[in-house]
Amino acid sequence: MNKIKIVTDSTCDLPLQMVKENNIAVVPLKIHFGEQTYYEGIDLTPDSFYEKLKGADVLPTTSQPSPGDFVKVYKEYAQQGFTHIISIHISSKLSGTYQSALIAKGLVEDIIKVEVIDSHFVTFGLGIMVLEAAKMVKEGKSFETTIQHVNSLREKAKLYFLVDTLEFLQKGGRIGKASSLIGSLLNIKPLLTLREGEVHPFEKVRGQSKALDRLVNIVEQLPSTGLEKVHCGIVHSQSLEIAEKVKEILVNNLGLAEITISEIGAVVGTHVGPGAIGIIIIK
Amino acid sequence: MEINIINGPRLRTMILTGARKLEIEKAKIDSLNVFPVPDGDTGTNMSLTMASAVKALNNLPGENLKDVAKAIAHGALMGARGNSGVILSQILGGWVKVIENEDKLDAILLSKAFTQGVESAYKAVVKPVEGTILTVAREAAEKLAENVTTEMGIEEALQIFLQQGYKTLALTPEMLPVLKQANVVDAGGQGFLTIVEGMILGLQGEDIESIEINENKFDTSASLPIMDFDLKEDDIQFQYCTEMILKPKNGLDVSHADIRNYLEEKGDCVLVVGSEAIIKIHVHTNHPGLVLEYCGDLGSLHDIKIENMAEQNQNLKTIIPKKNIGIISVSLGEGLNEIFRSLGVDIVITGGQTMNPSTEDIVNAIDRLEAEQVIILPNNKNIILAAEQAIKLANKPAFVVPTKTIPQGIGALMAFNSELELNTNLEKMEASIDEIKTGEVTYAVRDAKHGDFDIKEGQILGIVQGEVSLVHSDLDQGVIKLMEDLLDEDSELVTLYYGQNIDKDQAEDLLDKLSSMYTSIDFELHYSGHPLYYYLISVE
Repeated sequence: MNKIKIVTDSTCDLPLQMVKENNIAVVPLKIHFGEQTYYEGIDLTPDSFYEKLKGADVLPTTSQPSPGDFVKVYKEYAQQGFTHIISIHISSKLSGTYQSALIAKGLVEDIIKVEVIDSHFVTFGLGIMVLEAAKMVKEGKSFETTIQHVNSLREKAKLYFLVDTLEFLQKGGRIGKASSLIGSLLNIKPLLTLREGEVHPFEKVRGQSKALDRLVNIVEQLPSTGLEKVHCGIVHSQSLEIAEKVKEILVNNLGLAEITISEIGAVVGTHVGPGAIGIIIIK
Repeated sequence: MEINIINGPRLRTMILTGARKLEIEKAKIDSLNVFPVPDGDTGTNMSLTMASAVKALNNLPGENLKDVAKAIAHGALMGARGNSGVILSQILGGWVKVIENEDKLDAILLSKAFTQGVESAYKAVVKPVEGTILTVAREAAEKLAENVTTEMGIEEALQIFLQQGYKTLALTPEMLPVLKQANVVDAGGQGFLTIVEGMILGLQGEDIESIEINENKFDTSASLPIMDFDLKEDDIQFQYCTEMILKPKNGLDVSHADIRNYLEEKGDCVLVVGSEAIIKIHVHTNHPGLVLEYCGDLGSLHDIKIENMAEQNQNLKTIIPKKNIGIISVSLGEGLNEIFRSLGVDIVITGGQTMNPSTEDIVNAIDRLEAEQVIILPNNKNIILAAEQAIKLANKPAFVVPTKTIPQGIGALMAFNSELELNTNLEKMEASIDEIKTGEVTYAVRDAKHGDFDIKEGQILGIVQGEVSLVHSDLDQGVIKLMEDLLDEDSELVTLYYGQNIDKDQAEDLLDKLSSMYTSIDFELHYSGHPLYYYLISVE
């Protein structure tokens, strides 16, 4: 009988409890403050990360798990009797994690069958796909059906977000097509989106409250793709209060029962900085 | 004595010296990093990948060739960091496939190991991109494979590899446009060749300590093969290509963005890349002296290069594309000019109330702008007509968004998105005009009668949407009163732009007063430098 394990990486920003309940394996990315290396979610929680960030002279950098890290994980599940792995990861345009996983897949192909998926997303956008995959495995769906479903979610998912400052995206080299917004003297709140896995500018808004209104407004106006179940998540870095306010509006206006609020972890936090807020929706 | 074979201990030494050499030069390699993401860490990442290989070697009890190679490959695979680190680990992994069945390597086997390493690396990468470490390693391995003989010494073989590697590295900007734009060679390719150089040192009998001493002699003038930035047009707006490496003074927090902002005022083709410790700077300017002075204040300067581009030959043509949509804006006051530029305006034409630019000024600006299509923001009702005349005479398609005030112009720029097509932008920009209310505060230049108002020279005039709405004898009180006419329950953000004749402190005091009166509204203050308007007020 097939036994399938779902593997992802720490940029999925899934709350620990969801990870445990759904038997998901999370491979950590690394954060480097100078010479000191931390493993996201293992020895660095979001709170301690943002605390360190405040005191840091030089911004931290991040790096993907090595191919060897993935080999270790894949081998371990092969030894535990799993026959298949679906390994779903952060957009390959934002990180080399997908590349590392693919190399590892090639190195373990004699002992376990691995499908590596580039989610084109990050944070809870990736998280939703991972959760759905885990649920399908629990329900006994096949390897192929599960992969197909994840790929279809990827096409329908949307992620819009606001950052307090573009500085972090720029310094970390992940600003993508939004580089045209850099250097503005006015206090501009850029609304950004991920398209085909890359950061794109969506709109420019001035003032925090106007920007938040617009963020919610965009999500509300998105047309439905005909999915039975709408998935929605709110992510934030050090902005729980705002996230809760956004949740309340979305619950009222879209009639959604279930919206997960998730905190942006250290790796994505390195690239968006504190004060970022995003909405992920698949509808 | 010529060395013809590599055995286990020798390979071990070569990897240690290769790793050490890279460690020493990593900051310089970081400063080249622009692809695939410009995060300036290629040197560091490759160095840490090698460090992991070294660690695996240090934990290895034996020294037979097979075990040494395996330890190197395993260590690199476990510690691979960053894209170049991952590719490096695959090259080293490829070696093992050749070395696995040998107890020593001669030049022929070494060549095979490189070839196998390149093959493994290409296979491992999802989308191999030419112009990177992959191309450098491949062409170097091919050259070696063509020339290697059974009698060849190891050092000669490595030198052939290295020589071709540097030739290919110098061509990487021709293969990958992003390198060309940044005027650098590929960082990963440079990192890989640095390791090979270090391996040659190990082969020659240098030990790690002696390389350590070389560190002091390390000089940035041992320049990397950086290509000349070439020209995209025959007429040169900024004549001197000015380049340098800046090492900021100890403890000085130098922001790349600040340097970039300064340079953009002085020219174009601005590039500021690198780490906190080594910053590579490139600009085309007519004032290289000012640029050097400015950078010299921040730290020490190295590899300074100033070239007169009018003298350079023009065999090479860059692939930097023309802008699709360029923007021209009319504005007055240095503060406002800067704000417009920071919002993406390509050309600012000086002018405004009582100082209208001519149709010809606008035509010239359109003709000069390097863009397929041009959008013009007149920002004054008396300039709209001249702009509409100008677009009929210009040499490329141009369009007027009829903004009547500076705040409307800024609002239109907020609605602009360079990723969208022209018509969508024009629609969005025009729609934005109505969303902004403009207030202007100035003084009467002479006695006058205007509608119901009896105006005395020197009195403060408050103007809302182009119409005089109040006359007052006190500036601050006048502005506070004017706010009543400007604000309504939908107002969320008020921006005050203070003019040339107002002090910053005075403006800040006024802003504080206003923020405490209207607590639900956000207030922002900026310097306009406008000669006539004490305040320009935008309400959104």
